[in-house]
Amino acid sequence: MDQTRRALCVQHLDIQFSTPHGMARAVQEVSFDIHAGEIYALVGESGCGKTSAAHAVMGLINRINAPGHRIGGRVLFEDKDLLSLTEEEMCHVRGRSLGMIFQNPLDALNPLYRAGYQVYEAIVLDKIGKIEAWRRVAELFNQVKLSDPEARMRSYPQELSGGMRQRVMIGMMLARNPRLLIADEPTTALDVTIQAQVLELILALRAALEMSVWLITHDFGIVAEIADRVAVMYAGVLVEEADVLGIFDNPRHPYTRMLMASLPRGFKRDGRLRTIAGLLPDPTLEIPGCRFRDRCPAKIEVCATQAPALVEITPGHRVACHVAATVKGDLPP
Amino acid sequence: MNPLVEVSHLEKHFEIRSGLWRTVSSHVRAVDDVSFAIAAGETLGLVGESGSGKSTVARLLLRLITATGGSVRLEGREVTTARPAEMKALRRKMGIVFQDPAASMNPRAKIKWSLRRPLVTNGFEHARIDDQILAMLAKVNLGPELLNRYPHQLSGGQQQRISVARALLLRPRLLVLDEPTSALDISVQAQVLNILLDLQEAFGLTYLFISHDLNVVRYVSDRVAIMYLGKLMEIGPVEAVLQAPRHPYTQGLAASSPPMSPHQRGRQRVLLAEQPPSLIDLPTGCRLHPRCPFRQTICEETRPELRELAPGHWAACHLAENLPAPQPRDT
Ligand SMILES: Nc1ncnc2c1ncn2[C@@H]1O[C@H](COP(=O)(O)OP(=O)(O)OP(=O)(O)O)[C@@H](O)[C@H]1O
Ligand SMILES: Nc1ncnc2c1ncn2[C@@H]1O[C@H](COP(=O)(O)OP(=O)(O)OP(=O)(O)O)[C@@H](O)[C@H]1O
Ligand SMILES: [Mg+2]
Ligand SMILES: [Mg+2]
Repeated sequence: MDQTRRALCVQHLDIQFSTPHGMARAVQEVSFDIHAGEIYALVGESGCGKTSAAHAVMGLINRINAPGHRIGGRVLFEDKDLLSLTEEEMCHVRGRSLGMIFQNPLDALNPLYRAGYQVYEAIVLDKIGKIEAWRRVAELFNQVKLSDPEARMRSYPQELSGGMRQRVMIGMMLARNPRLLIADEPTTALDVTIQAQVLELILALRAALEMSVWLITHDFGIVAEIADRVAVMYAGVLVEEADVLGIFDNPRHPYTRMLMASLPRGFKRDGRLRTIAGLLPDPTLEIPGCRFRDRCPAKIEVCATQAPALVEITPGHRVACHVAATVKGDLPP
Repeated sequence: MNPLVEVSHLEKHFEIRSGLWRTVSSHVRAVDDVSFAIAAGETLGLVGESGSGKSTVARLLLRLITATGGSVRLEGREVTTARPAEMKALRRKMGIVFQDPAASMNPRAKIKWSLRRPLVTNGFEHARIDDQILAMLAKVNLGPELLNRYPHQLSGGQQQRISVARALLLRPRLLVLDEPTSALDISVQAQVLNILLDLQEAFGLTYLFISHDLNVVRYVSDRVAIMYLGKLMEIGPVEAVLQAPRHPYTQGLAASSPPMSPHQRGRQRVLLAEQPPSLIDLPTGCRLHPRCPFRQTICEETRPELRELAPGHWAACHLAENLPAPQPRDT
């Protein structure tokens, strides 16, 4: 991994959706970098804004699916600000260097066309000969370890298992040799044996192609398995960012700590799990102070009035919490 | 052991019809000669990959579908052949929570209606129904204000707790939980798991808990059963089966399961590389043999039976005694 080269640089990303109850702030002032060749994981509970952030980067939030939305900030990728590109220019970027795997691969594959043809179409954009393109499709099906690739190329999406579809999607992305792959919950629909195969594949491709991966998930097991760095999001804001060992061994933000403590790790006899009482705040309300305050056991007075900034507390470890930023040693449990 | 549920040689073959006359062309052997028992007050975890027959077992236990063979007994009484009157009494002792809580609730009815209806149709005393509902809501940590909402106005975790409450209101002896937390994120999952354990302690409930998350199954179960392509591969105490599995399939599952910490990276991840074969055209001998790294000729020819390898720990593998010891896993 190359710390100095940045594959993606997100600055002050802000996303608001128009809802019947007013504007909802799904993502607030989010800034982070993804280095070349790294796997950067974004975790957080359902509805905290992970998919919205990824869709904004891909240019997939538009007037049709989100009328009245507002997007602010900058997204730097290959020396361009993606948020300022026209739809046509964005299409070009998506077709070449930026790829996304969606949570539900059936939505992204067309049920009317055979799997092989859909990958072929993605390649033919590159103006290579037809025979050459088909040869490349067969190669890609092999590369994503689809058993019996000739037969799989002729299958329709609904004839493939979840894991196979996900691999066809990955094959389609690879056809374009992306610099950055955004993977939104790439394995939640899959059981563990197939999930392990898909993760193995992502790792192999990262190594072979020097691709960067932005991995979105709420599964800490997958993060433990393949992430290099991890960002934790809560109610639209980044609350913590560190390398994977920093997050697992020394989480600083109370939300991260409580999330890790609620994972089942032992047996029934080891006692009950920790839980986080309360709910995500209403995204249409303007909240002064820290957004996690109502659910936080460590809160102090200033949390009610001042929103904590994301500050670096040790090299490479950023936290947005008034308490964690001041306490140096062990935190209260 | 004093079994609440006894399942023996349970079998469900679905017919596949094709052609002009819709004649039966083949069978899907979704559940094939499965036997196990669950003691009163115990949780049996049921694990297996997608399509291995877990939900079919669940539906057979409650007789939501009819078995093509074998028997299910609840407190010694046969479920598969019970007459309607007896079945009604038996069914009251069994509850089920489905994977997708929203799909099992009427979207156009308020929560209140969905909770009340099963009590009314089961002849509970009208005057006490509302009190019982409020008490049960408190047990699953929900307030009475939810009663006047519609299902889509609840979060996933709230919906799942409502379906647990609804199943428990009928005071079942056995509760079947089919992937009850796989749609939830981890903080809500922790709430639901805690509630299930609290209620088990309070009422001596018996659970069949289906999931493919091994960490969740380890946490809730007393014993675990592993299914593959319609057959039981291994069954025994949770520590034995998940920490020191004796069947290559269970070893493969344990190896594929994501680690709890990045310090455990670098172990062998994929033991079972190929896709599972189809249930219509099953392999001869041991069903795992085409994917098994240890297979021998006997595995292709002879079907292994479950054998007791240690007290209460059974596995169906010819080679169980001679397998290399799996890498131990920390929890
Ligand atoms: N088109 C839209 N219009 C209005 N609100 C939206 C729209 N898309 C998303 N939201 C809201 O924005 C918030 C963030 O949603 P998002 O899908 O980004 O969450 P997420 O973190 O990906 O959650 P999950 O883990 O469940 O996928 C949610 O409150 C959601 O309801
Ligand atoms: N009504 C039916 N008709 C034909 N085949 C069926 C029917 N119901 C289930 N099956 C088949 O039986 C097999 C077992 O299905 P089952 O739903 O029990 O699997 P499962 O272990 O619960 O899987 P999952 O983890 O995906 O829920 C599958 O191959 C399925 O396609
Ligand atoms: Mg999402
Ligand atoms: Mg199922």
